[in-house]
Amino acid sequence: MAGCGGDLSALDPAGPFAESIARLWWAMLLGAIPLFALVVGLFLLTVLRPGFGRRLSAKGWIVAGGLALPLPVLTALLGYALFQGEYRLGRPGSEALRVEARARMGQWSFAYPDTPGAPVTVGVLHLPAGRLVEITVTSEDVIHSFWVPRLGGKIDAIPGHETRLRLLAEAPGTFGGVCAEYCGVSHTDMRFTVRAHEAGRYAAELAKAETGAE
Amino acid sequence: MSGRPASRPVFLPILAAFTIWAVGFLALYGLQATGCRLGWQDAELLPGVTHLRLALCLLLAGLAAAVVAVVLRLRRLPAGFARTVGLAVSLAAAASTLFSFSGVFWLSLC
Repeated sequence: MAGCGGDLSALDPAGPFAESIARLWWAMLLGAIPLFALVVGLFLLTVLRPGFGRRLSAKGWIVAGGLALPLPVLTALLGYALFQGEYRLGRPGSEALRVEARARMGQWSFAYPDTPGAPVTVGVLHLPAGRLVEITVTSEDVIHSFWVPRLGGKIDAIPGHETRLRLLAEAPGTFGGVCAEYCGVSHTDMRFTVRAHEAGRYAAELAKAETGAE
Repeated sequence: MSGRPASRPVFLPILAAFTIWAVGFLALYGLQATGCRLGWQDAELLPGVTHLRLALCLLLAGLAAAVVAVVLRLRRLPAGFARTVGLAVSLAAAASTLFSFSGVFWLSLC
């Protein structure tokens, strides 16, 4: 259970988009538990009580176990996952603060086009708490993946292409970020920190932010 | 010399429909990515219907028609293993085509 906490835990969400992912995870777990119990239970019954399986014909087992059991469960989970995905994706909107994330092997750098005078920060992403932020992600070399588990989902950083991800931190705080796509020997070092500041102090905090890696 | 009469491989009718499904999967992904890159999602043909969505829907309709054509063709085969299994697999492929790819009608495309 140690993986359920810490600043890289997707099960300890700090914003609505991460919360929607955590909800989906719990829904899938709750869907999997009764199915697992049922399958193991039926298996044990056929082992412990010989002849139990003959109550149903071979075709009956195939229809019940291969269609009737998984189809409704998987359809419901797929529908839920797709609706949650649509919610997280949203629509590019003017209400979101734009931030540009640029990946290269071993390093993330962040630019803030909507905040005049803000420096490019390396290894630290500054956000205003309580405000929707749209991150435009790209890469200078190979494919990376931008992921702040406590704030939202993953999005690939692809050379020559821009992808978008929405994040929202509900309260000020510090969160961990990683590259979630193996990108070479420097992959494990490609961590970054997200600092969510009080909205009123965001511009001032960003203005005095260091540009180098911390 | 008397050779055995040429016979159609048994696996063809069994594999045909899901081969169309697999080709369709690749084609839909390729069309979606290409359309996004070319900006087809911004060009609206009708309110809410973009060029990209129309292209994907037409491709899905073509795939569904191809799978249905396989089912109809299999129904004309003489009774036997290939027909029985081929029909069952093709009906599964038809259902899977509509189920798996129906997202082109309503999901965000880019």
